[in-house]
Amino acid sequence: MNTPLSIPAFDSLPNSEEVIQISQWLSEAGLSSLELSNVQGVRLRITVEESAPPTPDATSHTVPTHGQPEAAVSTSTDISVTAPYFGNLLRKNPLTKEEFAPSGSSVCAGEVVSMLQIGELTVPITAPQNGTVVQFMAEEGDLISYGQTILTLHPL
Amino acid sequence: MSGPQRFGRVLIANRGEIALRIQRACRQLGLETVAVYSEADAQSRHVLEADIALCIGPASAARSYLDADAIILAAKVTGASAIHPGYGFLSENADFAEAVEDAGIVFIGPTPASIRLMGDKITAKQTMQASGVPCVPGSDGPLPESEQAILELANAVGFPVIVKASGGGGGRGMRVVWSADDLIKAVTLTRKEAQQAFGNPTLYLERFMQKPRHIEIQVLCDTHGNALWLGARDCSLQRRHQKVLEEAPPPGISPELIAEIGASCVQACRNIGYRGAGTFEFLYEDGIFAFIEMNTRLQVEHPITEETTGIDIVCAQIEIAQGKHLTIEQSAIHTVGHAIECRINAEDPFSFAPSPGCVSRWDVPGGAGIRLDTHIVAGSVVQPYYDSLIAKVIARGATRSEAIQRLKIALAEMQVEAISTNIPLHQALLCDPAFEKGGVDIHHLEHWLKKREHS
Repeated sequence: MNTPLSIPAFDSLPNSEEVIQISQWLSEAGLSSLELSNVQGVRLRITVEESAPPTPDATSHTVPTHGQPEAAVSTSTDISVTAPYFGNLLRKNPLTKEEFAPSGSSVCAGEVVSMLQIGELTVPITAPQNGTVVQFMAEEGDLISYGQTILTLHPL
Repeated sequence: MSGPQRFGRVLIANRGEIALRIQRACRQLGLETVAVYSEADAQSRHVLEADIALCIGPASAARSYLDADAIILAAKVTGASAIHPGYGFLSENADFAEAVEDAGIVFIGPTPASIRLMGDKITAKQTMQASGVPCVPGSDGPLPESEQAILELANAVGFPVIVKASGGGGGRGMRVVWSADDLIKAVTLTRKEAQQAFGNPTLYLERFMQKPRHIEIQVLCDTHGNALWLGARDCSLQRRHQKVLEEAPPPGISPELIAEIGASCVQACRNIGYRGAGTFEFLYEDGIFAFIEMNTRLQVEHPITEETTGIDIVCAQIEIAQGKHLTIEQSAIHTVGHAIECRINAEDPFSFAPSPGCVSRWDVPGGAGIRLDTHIVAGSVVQPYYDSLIAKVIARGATRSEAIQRLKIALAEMQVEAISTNIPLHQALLCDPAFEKGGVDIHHLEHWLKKREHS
């Protein structure tokens, strides 16, 4: 059974020391924020101030093991970035509402270019290599299949 | 059928002809369909024709059709509120059925408890015995010590009997006894062997079925206490325990005897609170039925029952899952005429090696009494990753011989090129005098194949 990114239910809010610890973990993992909620409606959101850009190592462990992004070589030198799982496409960070990787932007290998929302889970889609985002092939909210091309990347 | 629906959109967790069959039933009932598929099946008919299609993984079944988590998540993201598992893959996986229900999704099938109960052969047999379903007659426990008691028991069971070691298995520690004269000697020998080989001298005995036929009973049960049996099928033509050709009704078995067995199956269903479609499999020999197992799902060969009873089993499954009442009475169910199904596999008709590839020509049969359940069209690719079933040719006739005649014509009409199929095997089997006579046993096909090899 693969349940990536599942977070156990929490009964009470963490104290300030625990929040500091969680913030450190987030920072070390190259993550900018974390949001938890439970069925009683308790919500916790921790946002970390601007940290160093995520490194490939830092983000790769958040990718489910059976969902490594696969890149297919297209007719040009551009490469396709494909969905490692299925779900609804989030081109914008759900917390900051900013686009992860707008067309024309440069991304580093391992950098999150979009996310897939699957119920309560989100799975990152990462750039397979350094490059410039040429074109998105799917819209915000689209239901994306496994292996579907999300965007084309011009390698740098 | 009116009233509120528990679901309006059904995810079909399967592929091939059965995915298409379920899709048709959903359409019939005005339900939307979701196809989940592997990358290999992107061009499949059930994918192209679904209301919503979602690729959930690569070709490997373990990462697509067998990925329970992915299928449940796919139901969530597509808004499907019911899952039909078809046959094979996750259809008899109690944990999957439970996870589906825990996720608030309707599982179109039996309860997880029923699947579990019937999944264990020992508990299944005990449950059936308790409900009066006939099982292989035998000692129902360890053999007594007294020679006289053993003899009496064996006489009551009827010869030939097979004496087995409780601790044995895999064909070891067993001995067939043909008459009372040889019984005590055989018991003594087997007991000694059992002690030596397994460290356990406990023996039991059962009636030895030499040339049994495989006969099965289709049942349908709703969640309001209504349980029906829909006649019997004869699936004796098997190769390596895989059914090749099935027919309904079983030739040469009296309808009264089948009705008696059918009634006991229905009683067992009531006793365990069975829900949905199911099949009781029996060995049959010399008028004796012996329960083997219960399949808690739709069967590949369900169409021959549909053709002889007029009941759409897949629609009934879905309606039962909607919580509806079965509206048909047992007294209104009759087996009319005869139906035979040939399973068409993409395989070499002699070596049985799988024959995947692109189908360049696909001319299908038609005419009165012919039904073809398939997902293949000209240009389809038969994938190497999954089972080789590509079509089911079903012929119905007023009589068995009419059904056979129609089947022969249908198979002759069917033209498939660029892959090998077992159509020539079916054509030869339909001309086999023993098959024509009807009532062959479960070893017949293997013997027939051996003879073919030598000629």
